[in-house]
Amino acid sequence: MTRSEEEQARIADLLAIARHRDREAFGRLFDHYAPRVKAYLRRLGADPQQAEELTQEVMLAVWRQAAQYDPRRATPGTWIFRIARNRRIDALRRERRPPEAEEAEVEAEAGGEEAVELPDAILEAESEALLLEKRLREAIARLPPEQAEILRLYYLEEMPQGEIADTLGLPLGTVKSRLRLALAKLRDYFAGNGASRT
Amino acid sequence: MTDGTDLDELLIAHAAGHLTEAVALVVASHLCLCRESRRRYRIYEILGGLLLEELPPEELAPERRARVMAALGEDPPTAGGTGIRRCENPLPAPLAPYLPASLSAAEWRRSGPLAELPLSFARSRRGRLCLLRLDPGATVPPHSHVGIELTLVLEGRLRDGDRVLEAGDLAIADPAIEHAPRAGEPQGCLCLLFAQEG
Repeated sequence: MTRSEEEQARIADLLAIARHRDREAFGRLFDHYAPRVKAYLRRLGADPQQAEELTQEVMLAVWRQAAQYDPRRATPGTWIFRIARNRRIDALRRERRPPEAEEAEVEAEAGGEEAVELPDAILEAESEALLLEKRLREAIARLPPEQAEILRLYYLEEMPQGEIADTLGLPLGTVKSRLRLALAKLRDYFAGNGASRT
Repeated sequence: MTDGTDLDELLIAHAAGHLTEAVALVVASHLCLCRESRRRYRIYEILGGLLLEELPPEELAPERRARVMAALGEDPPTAGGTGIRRCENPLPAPLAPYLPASLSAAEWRRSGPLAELPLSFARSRRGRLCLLRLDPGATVPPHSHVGIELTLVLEGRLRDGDRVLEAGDLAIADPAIEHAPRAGEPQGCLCLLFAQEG
């Protein structure tokens, strides 16, 4: 399967869980995501035991909240990343993450767009979120490797810029400027391309 | 002052789940009010999903899968929506859990043309989080800060140096900057303020 076909299959699995509590579909998502969620939590400092327990919670939340997943707005990876990120803040930081209004709700309140029933045709057409993800993957592939590396360390491992500098043996100023450059390039790549709205 | 890059750093840090509760609250509130920031934030969340997908998987102990599969309930999935309590006032939804039942009946600390309503949050870092109401034309006495200061305009207008902030605008002031923001006329200004202390 191509990357895009794999993504479509995972979207179909999430929708099958939401619509008819499909356990096999859940099993497939577990096998794909649980080891990645664990890896993410480990990088953020959870010990193996903690990471596995939190991963269980995250995957159970996937089962329970599957009806909230909207394939137009998020890829399965992004949606599950969000759940893992929020659980981890609650559990490991003992802090709460303020509730966030879903983009759809904000837009609806602002009179921006009508909520529409999701057609099954979405599975054939490439969803907007998948399109954005594809463009983002292209944008990251275009970054010089040293900028992409710093972006990863900063984003996924919550490494302060000073620590990234120590780890890579670089001056702090270099780390800061590489991160800024990487962000500026991503921003330019997406500036005014209209891909965020259809 | 906000330059695009500072705002982007806040948006990416929020997407990655790095921000402390009070700062996350200011950013989440800003997102409710600013479509352009929502667009960029969304891209940064998709980045999170993409990086999660790319992580080298770390297998879980085999009994974890069985345990999760056994815990899957048959209950219908939770219906859509984030379950956020709507504010009765026009303030952004993420603020709702932090506000008293009635804003007008709450105990504002009045000092001349300024009134402040402290909001409580998990104090993992020291800081002051409050709503600040400025009478029309009122000026905040000139000050600088120990740490970063975030000002989100919720209603009315605020002039800060050369910049006029409208509802939804977020000003990010560096520690060194001394400023004396002034409320617009005739409607005054309501802000959400976070000032880092120490």
